[in-house]
Amino acid sequence: MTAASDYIELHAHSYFSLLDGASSPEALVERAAQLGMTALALTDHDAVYGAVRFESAARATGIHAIFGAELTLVGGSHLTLLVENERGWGNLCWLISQARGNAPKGEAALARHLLERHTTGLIALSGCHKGEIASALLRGDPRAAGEAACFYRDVFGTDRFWIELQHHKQPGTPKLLFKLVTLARQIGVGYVATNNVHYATNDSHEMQDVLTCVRQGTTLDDPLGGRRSNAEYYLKSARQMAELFTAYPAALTNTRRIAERCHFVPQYGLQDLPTFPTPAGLSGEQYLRQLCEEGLLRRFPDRPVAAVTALDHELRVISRAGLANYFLIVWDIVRFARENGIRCQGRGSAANSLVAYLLAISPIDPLAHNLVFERFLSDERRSTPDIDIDFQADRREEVIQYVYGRYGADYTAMACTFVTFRERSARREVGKVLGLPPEVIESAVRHVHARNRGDLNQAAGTGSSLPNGFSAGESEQRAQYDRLCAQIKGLPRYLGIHNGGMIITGVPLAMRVPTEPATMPDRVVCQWDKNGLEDAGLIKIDVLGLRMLSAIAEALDILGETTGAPPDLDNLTLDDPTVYQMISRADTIGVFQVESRAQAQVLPRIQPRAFADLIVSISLIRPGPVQGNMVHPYLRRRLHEEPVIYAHPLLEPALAETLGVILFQEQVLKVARDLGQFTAGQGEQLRRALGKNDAEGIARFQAAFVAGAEANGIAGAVAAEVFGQLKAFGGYSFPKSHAAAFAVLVYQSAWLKCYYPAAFYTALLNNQPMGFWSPAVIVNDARHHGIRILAVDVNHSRANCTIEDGGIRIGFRYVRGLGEAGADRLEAARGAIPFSDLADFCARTRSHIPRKLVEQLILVGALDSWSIARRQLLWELGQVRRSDDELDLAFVHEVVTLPALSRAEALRAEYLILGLSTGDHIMALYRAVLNDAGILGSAALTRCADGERVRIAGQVVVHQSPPTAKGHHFVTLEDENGLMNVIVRPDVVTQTNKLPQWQGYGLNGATLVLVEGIVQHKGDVINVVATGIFPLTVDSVAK
Amino acid sequence: MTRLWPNGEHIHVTLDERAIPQAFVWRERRHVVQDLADRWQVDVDWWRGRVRRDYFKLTTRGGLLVIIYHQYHPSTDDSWYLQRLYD
Repeated sequence: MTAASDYIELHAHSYFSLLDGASSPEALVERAAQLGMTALALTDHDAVYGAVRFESAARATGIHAIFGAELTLVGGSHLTLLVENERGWGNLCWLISQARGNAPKGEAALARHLLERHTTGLIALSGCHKGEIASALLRGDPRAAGEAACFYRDVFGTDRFWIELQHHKQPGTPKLLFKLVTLARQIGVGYVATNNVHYATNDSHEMQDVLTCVRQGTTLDDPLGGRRSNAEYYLKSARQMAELFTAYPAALTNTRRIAERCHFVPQYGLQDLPTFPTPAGLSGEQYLRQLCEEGLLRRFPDRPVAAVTALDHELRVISRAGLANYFLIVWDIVRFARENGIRCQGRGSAANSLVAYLLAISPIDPLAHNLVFERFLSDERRSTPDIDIDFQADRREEVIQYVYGRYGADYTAMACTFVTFRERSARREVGKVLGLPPEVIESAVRHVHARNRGDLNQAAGTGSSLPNGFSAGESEQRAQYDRLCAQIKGLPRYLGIHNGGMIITGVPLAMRVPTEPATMPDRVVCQWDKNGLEDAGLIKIDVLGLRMLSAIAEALDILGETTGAPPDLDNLTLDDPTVYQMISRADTIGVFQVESRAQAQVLPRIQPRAFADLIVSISLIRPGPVQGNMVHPYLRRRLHEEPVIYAHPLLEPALAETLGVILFQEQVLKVARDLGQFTAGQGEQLRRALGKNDAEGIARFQAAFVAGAEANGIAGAVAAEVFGQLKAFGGYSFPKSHAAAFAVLVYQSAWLKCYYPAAFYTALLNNQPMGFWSPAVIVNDARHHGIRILAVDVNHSRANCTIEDGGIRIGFRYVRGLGEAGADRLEAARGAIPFSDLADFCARTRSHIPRKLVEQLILVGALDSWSIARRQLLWELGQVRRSDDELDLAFVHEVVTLPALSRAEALRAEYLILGLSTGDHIMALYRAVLNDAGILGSAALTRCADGERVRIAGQVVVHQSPPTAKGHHFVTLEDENGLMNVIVRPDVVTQTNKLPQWQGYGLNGATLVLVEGIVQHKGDVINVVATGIFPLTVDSVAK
Repeated sequence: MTRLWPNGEHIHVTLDERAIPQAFVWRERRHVVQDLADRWQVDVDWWRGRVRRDYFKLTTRGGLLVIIYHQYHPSTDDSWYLQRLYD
């Protein structure tokens, strides 16, 4: 009789063996526990991607986690490695890094000789049938098998090299096992059974087949698809394994012997940061204090007691947490950026810290804004705080390179991300694997709207996810397609690079976590993502790119060039009434964070008049306040339409600044403290539980909260009601500190728009894509602000948009197909000598601007300066030899007279080629007809009374249906005079199904609609509540 | 030369307690298994009608070397077949 504990699986792949393993680490652990296994090894291909999750799941289940990997050697053979101890972990990480670095992205190839000095603390198993020894025996070369076995025995030692036996019911297996065991006995090493697990249970072998086909680009019907011939690669019980290895019982008991030797758990933390070099004689803590004192002198010359006290407190907490070194590293990165003119600022909870403010990491004085330091760091908080810094996006790479240079490429890497199958990619890839016709796959993909992400499981269950593509007799095939798509969703596909997360260590990184090359040259990523790094205790520093910072920097550069002295944006007093008036009338297109349609609804009601109002404004339109029904009570209270009330007077100190409602994450901490008698650290833990919607954690905190409140003399019912508000809020909001840091950018960008609109719009156009609105809307907004928009011109435009005589000249970058490099080349080809005519232009650009692009330039008027009609230029272009491979034929130069482009034709060309119009708005072409039919535009709409029935028409520039809106759609229409807001109720939304994806109506594919509805005034905000919505056609106008 | 029946020749099989063939009847003639040379399993084509078979390569006392298989198909076919006969 075999006991369950007699067999430990030492060779298991999770789905972090990308496109090979089919089960999560958690699923493997769960199955192992069901089978009564006391330990389990995870041995993904050339990776430890899943190690942290594996360890966490194993710890929770009481299973002993064994770390390892199946390494790919040069030539493609495999070797299974298991970690005995910390030294072994370091060696495994190093070997994986070497193997990854020696092969194209996604592959690995370790030169065998590199094993020689990196085997300490590792146990090697000889691998699957792709192992050097098994494969040599399979091809009938026992000599090579013997040589390889002796090599590994000598490198690892007789007690740490084992011949691996696998039995997957394949032809020839008994013979192979016999040869392997014989060889093991001959060379004096042990043998051990494994099952080379690729899925937790055998029903998952279908998914493994699908993944294999995706990996190899084949279909299931392809006989050479590389799929396995049966379903035997699942986690088997001791009894099942015993049946397979009746002839070799020691192979099973040896699994336990090996498992008992492996006892390593990665534990990192602050000790892994490099030690920041401090001036002689100063410790990190002393140097940090010195820098803070210098900052204190700059920021608070009078050394107010509150600041000095707060600084002392923070430095003590930082010291106890051992974080001085961390702060110095971050300070140094920011220092580099500032010294090199790279705009940057901290975001997130770091802005709660006075130390961060004094070190110029954060732009926010936490004392002035009543921010809570414990939201950032406290003695109770166990995990290391994040300091996230935004840098201007176009120069972020310089900062990253600085960090690489400062700490060394071997000590620095980016965090990875795992790109997973999403609904559309699942549809596409599974469809291909099943061999479905392309039109069926595309039909399925089209049907999957981005907003339906997450509905796949439900759709698979109802069989209603695909309205077309399959015929009635193919319901089984369709169900299979749905089922497989649902199963594959969420599985990792390939490794990506984190947006900005950098990891820096004091010892070579490859000894801590494996690294591998990223797609970007000279970049390496580590094998753990953000969560893995955090859970393993490795500190990440987020070096993020923010395009608004780039736009602000560019606007300042433009002003520096045009006025001689850029304004001192960093020392604005943040209290200019003109700026607040502009924001209050929602004249905010292009302004950071407050430009959206939703913000435009709120700003005229809030009427921001001070910096604190900006913090509130950007915090209101967040899922927490929206879903917690905080927005309208706040607005009503602010407008004195309802009284400010508190569920209990003790809430007033926490919620007074937001009129009794919860808007900021910090307020959760304050409410927990004031009512529930939580410490700051406990409050933070509660906020995290709320943010993660951790039901178990929330329930635990609720009991503590109610108990604390009752001890405070507060009735249980009141405490429960307040806790209910905290739960509804959910934590999906900005911390006030984050909102405050962002509000600085709101003010700065608004200030630029207010006083230097041409520079502001130019910078916005040059840093697209960013923000809420398309370049077409930005250009129209600029025009409404009296700024002339000048067409692309080969003799005046530059690669980027520029200011010209107070107007904005559209740059070559907007010409579709030219690209950034093409735009630069065109500008360089012109140099200082303008093009004299078409022939000159063609002669100087023929080597790098193809004919098609010249045609596009002509069509958008870029060659209008010679006063030749565009059609005429196109005709002439046909007679110019453009490239060396065109025959140099002599043409009879016919003189033809061609009509000029109509307004509509010119406009269409601009929309198609530039994506915007430098002249007319499309709706201007319809205005006379619309006026005759009594259909209003944005200008007339402002004069309509509340409740008036109207018909309006415009171009759809935004169409939203957020999940929080309960089926309502929000549409923004634009015409030549401005924007119009339309609310479409659910019963009217059904009509919009007649407008396929809101496209294809009117000129150039723009969506032009006619809306019938009722005018609704809310303060200064005007909406039209639609009662009907139609494509704008001759018929609909005439109705 | 070997003879191959791609769709198998139907046979009746006698098994031991470990479900290993001891004898089989093919074309009304009984063959007693002498030795089991190899065995394997295939489980394929799940997407278009699963094929799951246990294969046995064995010799008989009469000197035949054959491959037979057991086809698992609970509803339609749960039978044994001779697939290959080696000369």
